[in-house]
Amino acid sequence: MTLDDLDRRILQVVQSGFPIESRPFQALAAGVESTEEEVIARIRQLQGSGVIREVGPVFNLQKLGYTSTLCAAQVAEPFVESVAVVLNGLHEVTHNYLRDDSFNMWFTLIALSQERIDTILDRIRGEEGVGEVLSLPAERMFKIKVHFHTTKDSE
Amino acid sequence: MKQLEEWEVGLVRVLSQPLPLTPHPFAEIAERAGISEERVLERLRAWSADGTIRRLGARVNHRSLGYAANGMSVWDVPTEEVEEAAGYMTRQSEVSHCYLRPRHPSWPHNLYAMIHGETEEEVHAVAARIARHTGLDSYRVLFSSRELKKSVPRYFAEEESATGDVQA
Repeated sequence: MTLDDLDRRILQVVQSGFPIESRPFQALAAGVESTEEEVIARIRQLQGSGVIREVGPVFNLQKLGYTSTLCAAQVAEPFVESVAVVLNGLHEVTHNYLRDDSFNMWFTLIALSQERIDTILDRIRGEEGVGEVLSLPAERMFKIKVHFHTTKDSE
Repeated sequence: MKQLEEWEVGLVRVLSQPLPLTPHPFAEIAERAGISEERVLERLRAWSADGTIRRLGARVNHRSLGYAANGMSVWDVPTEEVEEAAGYMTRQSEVSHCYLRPRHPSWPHNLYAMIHGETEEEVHAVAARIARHTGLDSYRVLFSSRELKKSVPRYFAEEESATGDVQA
């Protein structure tokens, strides 16, 4: 999708500082010299084409009582697909990537208890083709930046 | 962490779904959660102020914005040097996330920095810059060869309870 100037301005303002008021898109429209109707239509379009994944709050999961961890698993090549199906079917698995390493499957787990995380890890360790599985929970967080500049060409 | 009340859990559950793209999105949220729009707005303000909500707005797909190469750089940093190394990493605009994690016998890395660039070469160049400035030479950059899943967390999905009992 080719982004025009208005798309880029909307992307800038809608990534942060989303107005907490009854008609937020009307408030956003004022900032980008557009109309509520147009802003909603553009955001729908950006979402439809995948530039925006979705609009909503990003929660601090610890404050909601959740525990999370990053896991690294050694999965033998012939079993990558079958293990991925098992992992991706769990709603506690939020991200899953293949990376070029002997620890080739990297996924994040969130759950309401450590017991649940351990249960899932045990289950994954029992899958055919799975070697070592490491749990690497964050001990400290130094930075989370989630605002990306939208000035680059994005065709 | 303070315990959420039942209606708050319900509100978080509704807010974990994509915001309706309509003129009165919070009124729709309120209806789904069975509370008033005023109460939704009040909670959103309070949760934004106390950090329960990190950010409200659009999550963009950075790949579609020209950041095609995303590398996870992993570093083996002596404990007494972590603070300074992480400080330098977080000052780099190409670095989005930086975490300290435990080492394992088979995994000697403890500091993680996600680096974004248009190409893998750009990402490697940022890692090399970090190595030069910090003097750390034990590191690797892992690129994702496939995204198998990337989802927005759905908190308090129906099969879960707030007390932590989860039916698989």
